[in-house]
Amino acid sequence: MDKMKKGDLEKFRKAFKPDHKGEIMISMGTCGIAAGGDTIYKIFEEELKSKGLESIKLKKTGCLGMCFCEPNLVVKLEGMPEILYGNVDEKAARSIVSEHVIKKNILNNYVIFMPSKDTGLNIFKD
Amino acid sequence: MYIEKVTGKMIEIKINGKVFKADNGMTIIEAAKLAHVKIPTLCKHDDLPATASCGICVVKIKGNRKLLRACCTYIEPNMEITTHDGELYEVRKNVLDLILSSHPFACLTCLRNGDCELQTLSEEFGIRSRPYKEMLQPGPKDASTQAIVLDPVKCIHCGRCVEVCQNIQKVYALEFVSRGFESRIAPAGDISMADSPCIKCGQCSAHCPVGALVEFSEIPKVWAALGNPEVFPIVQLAPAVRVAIGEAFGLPAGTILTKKIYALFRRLGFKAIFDTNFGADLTIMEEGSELINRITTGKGAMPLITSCCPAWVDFLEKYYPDLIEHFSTAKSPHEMVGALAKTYYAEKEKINPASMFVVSVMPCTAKKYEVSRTADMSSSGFQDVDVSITTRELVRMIKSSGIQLLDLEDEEADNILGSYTGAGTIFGATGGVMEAAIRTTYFLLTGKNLDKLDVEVVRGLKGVKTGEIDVNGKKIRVAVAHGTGNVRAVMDELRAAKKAGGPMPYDFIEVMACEGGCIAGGGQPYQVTNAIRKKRTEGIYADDKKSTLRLSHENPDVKKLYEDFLEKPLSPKAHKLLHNHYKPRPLYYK
Amino acid sequence: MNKQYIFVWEPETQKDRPVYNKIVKLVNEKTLTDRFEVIRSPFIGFTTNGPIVRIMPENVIYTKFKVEDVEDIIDAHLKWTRVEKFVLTYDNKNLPVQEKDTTSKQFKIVLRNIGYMDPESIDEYILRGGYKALEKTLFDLNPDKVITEMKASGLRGRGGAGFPTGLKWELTKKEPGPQKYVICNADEGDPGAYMDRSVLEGDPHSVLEGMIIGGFTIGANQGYIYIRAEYPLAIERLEKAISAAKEKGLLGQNILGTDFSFDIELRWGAGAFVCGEETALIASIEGKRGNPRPRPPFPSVSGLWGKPTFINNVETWANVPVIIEKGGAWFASIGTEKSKGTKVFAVTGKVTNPGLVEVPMGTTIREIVYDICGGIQYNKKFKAVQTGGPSGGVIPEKFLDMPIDYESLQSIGSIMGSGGLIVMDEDDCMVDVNKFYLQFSVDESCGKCSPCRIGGIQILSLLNKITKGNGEKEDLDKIKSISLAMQKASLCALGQTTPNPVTSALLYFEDEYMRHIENKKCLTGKCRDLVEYVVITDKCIGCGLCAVRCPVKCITGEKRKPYIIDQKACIKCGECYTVCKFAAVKRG
Repeated sequence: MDKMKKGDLEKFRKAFKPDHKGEIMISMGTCGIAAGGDTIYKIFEEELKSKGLESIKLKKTGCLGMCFCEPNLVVKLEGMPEILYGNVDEKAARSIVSEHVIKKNILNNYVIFMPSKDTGLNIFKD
Repeated sequence: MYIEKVTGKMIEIKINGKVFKADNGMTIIEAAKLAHVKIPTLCKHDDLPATASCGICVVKIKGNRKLLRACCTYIEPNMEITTHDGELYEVRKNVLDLILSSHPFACLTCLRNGDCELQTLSEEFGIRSRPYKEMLQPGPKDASTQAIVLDPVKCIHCGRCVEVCQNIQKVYALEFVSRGFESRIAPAGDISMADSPCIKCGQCSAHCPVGALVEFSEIPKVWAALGNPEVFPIVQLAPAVRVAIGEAFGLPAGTILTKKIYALFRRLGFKAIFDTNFGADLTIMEEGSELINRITTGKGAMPLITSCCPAWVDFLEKYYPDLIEHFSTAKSPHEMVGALAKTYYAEKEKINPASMFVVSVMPCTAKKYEVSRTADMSSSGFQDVDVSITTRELVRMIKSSGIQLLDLEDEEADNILGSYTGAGTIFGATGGVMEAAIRTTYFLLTGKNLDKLDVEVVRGLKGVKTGEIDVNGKKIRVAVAHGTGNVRAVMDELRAAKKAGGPMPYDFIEVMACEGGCIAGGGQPYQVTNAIRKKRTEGIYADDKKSTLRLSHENPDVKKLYEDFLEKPLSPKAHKLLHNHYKPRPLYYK
Repeated sequence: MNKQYIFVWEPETQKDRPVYNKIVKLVNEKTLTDRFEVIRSPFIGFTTNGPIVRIMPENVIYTKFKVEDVEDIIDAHLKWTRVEKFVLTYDNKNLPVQEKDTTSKQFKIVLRNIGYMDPESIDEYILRGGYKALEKTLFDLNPDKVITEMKASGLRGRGGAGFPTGLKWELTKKEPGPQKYVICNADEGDPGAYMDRSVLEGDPHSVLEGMIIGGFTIGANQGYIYIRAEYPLAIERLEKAISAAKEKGLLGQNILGTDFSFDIELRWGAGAFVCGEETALIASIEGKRGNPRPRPPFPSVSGLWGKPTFINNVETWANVPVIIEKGGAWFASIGTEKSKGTKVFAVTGKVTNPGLVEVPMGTTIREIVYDICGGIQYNKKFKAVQTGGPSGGVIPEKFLDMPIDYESLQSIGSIMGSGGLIVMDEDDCMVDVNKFYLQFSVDESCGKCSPCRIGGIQILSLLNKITKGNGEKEDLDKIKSISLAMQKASLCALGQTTPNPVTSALLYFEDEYMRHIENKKCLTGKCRDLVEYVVITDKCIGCGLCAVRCPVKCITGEKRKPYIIDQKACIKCGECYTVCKFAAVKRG
């Protein structure tokens, strides 16, 4: 890879086009993994693949800070608010794919909060 | 050897309300001396950099809400220092109470009884009770070296031994192991000292404030020999002992007590009193001849390195085994005297060498290790030196005998191993072996004596001294290093030159393991500092200066020895009795 | 234009979903599909029989409407207003707990990216504005300007002591010498604190970026991150981050094509708490025993290998890129007069929602404990919080509303520390808690200096004596004397602060100590030697549950008659006290 020079960072940011229509971000700090985050990750991997949802990006993130409800994850889909699910077990993980991702039904029993703003893109609270 | 950071820049400070001018590089504890205050401390030794571990020397600085440690806080312009007040007393006493709670109250049976820094401080603080529960941290007592004894339960964690072992001597034998309350002094890996890189120099024991690191005491063996009519007890006195022992009896450092010590030995019951200085003269004959041999024949590795110091021998065998070929094969002086006592002297006086018991009084703990170092140390057919005791042990023997050393009339040593020249006596100071060797080799090479016998270039407390001696136009390049920490530089230089196959930087190198040489050896009286090293050294050179004979080759008894017994230096007989072999040793046996 | 979301829930009985269908129809008719997204939602927890409509992002919830009212609602929201008469609620207050926006009082600077970004992807960091600050530093600023910004920001060291960071930068820059070092202290060790771990695991690049800026500013070309070996994931992610940054030319030789080169290496700590002390940490990197050494000289003058060294904690470094990007003045606008910016706390203990929170300086403990973390578990009574871990002190209820910053915490006998915040409730015994902290500090003392090495274990033994019921009044005097010696004469902060938990507890909970000593009672039951469980005969109905649950079977009795606890056999586990449904077991 070529080393970046002055201005390349901004060029990269501008040229970047996301190749996905949604993201599932699983908290996988040590705490999240200890709570079972990696199992949940595998289930999502499997579910997304088997249902042909390649446009949904699955990613590992750090600890959201809400350790009381781990494993937790954020689902961000185009055209839907960002939802934080907590205490996600295997069943919930599968339902998130089948209900939330496919049918756009939010699984209320697992919702921790719906941020009133898309905090994922607004770095700082204003 | 700790050299204070002198900057030459004087600044003004206030100590207890009074203004003083002090060197900018001083710590508070040093500056306080200007105000006639000795700030109490347990861990700071004037000879060593601060380890800052005891917490007793705390003082107040105006404008700082914390108390600072006087031992390691450097003065700053216009600093206002309070060295004592009610709060400081309370804090210091509380810390001392804590230290005492983890130190066994076994003063009466401790080797340091009456000469212990913790005991003194407790007395000064008027400690009358122990408010806190006794909590000791026992560790295994380690006497494995037969030279130094480590008793961790008595340790107050001042860290002086680690400082001296690692940063001054650069031996790295001692370290703190474990953590917190369970931490204690031990060789790294918690192995025994005998299995560690320890070179038995004993600097740890000379700096220990309490009885945690002491010499391996051989006093009972000596008393047993003195009380046994079947035994013929012989004693010999090392050069450095005579200028330091007086300190234990209230005399200034450097006071020469040679002849009183001879008298003392007789009062104690020794039947023959020899002087290790005789052995020193003999060493010069052997080692000097060896040097000339190597120079003239080109056989044998150059430069030649002296080998009279057993701690140094151990250090080289462990850290620089590749340089063993440079070692002089000559034994150390007391070993030579021991070997000759049980052969030459035994023959002459018709005494069964088996009944002889040779005690050498040394400034050194490594000599205890040396007496049984290899089979070469039994060249007479018996162990040449039976027991080596330190200056401090002799002091204890004197005190327990009740003999008033200072009141004794002067007496002489015994023939035929008791006479010495000024060259023999200076063996006790750094540069002394070199100077004595230069005096004699000059003669052996030129047939003439030096015009000026004092070789100033090799004298003094500088860590590494180098110079050139002109011998009939041929330059002999010499280096003198003392303190194994300083020695490393010279040895590394040598090693690099060897590796490069290039010219060697020196022809002759003198090494003593302790800083200042034997006068500040690991077995000498406590509280050594550079000022004391200087005074003891002055005593040594004064002894040389006042001697009528100042050249080893002029010692009549040495000459007689060669005529009657050894034939000539480096003869086969001399080789058998006066020389030895070396072997590489691992740093860690385990 | 922002998109709005309409969530609709209808009772099971209304199978044909009139409201949902009506809204969908309206949205389609008015061609508002780009503006509104209609979503069928599961039950969201309000006691109502009718349908519920919730509109985001306004977060307005409607229940009091009829099907025909829907059009009004849609029209109102099209204009970003609401129809008050149908509104059930439109703020967070009355929402069920799990729907509360727990971030409301938080302000994320350090944690800005964590949870939203793949920490192993440098691209994502860059997309989120990463390395902007570095570019700005290299091309638009110079070291002096960076220091000006840092000083203007008022940022103070987040490792615990709160030394002004900008001043530290300036001091290190001023030191002459071609070789300087930058160190990131990631030797986090307070019990219950994991802020640094989360930052390194969740956003390693922000720390790297901070360090590179630091290196450029003071003139260093080598940085080290001293990280505990117990943080394998953080190590793995840091290593990936370092190599990714090097590949992109953001780290290593000629950063972003400039003359500036800077490298970062990891150094693993073996888990000694004291290695978080900067001089001990430096000794450890040098390969020596991790013992602190006296200061001065400070590391900024003589640190790693005797060279000027610039050492900051993870959280401090993570703040740097934001300060550079947004300016010192922006940062200084957050927080209190003397403590600027935010602080990350790891809230643990007896709170409903433990976790990591980042709040502006000056937030009160009540806000953290109650508003953000959901209050005390099981509605028990708040007793105290411990800040600063084993080096800090307890803060009793009366200071719940005190805004916290470095000064205020110090004034009440605690410290900010690195950010551990442990909440205790009525069931926690202060002597027992103090014992825990003392034990920790005793275990973690390096053993170098006597006040700490011996003082800690002596206090601990006195606490043990008290909890065993052998305490005497003089023991408190002894604890105070030892504490004085430790606080005043210890070499490093570990020893100086070891007595803090005890001294602060003696300040606020002396009566509890006295109860242990004089009455030989521990009301919480934590000190088992000072508690007794007795059946109150009037209240006991003789159900026998306690006897069944007693692990040592020391409770006997006949059904329907009061049971008896055999005090000799009782192990004081408290199970009978917990299980009794009639409060017939007395603890005292």
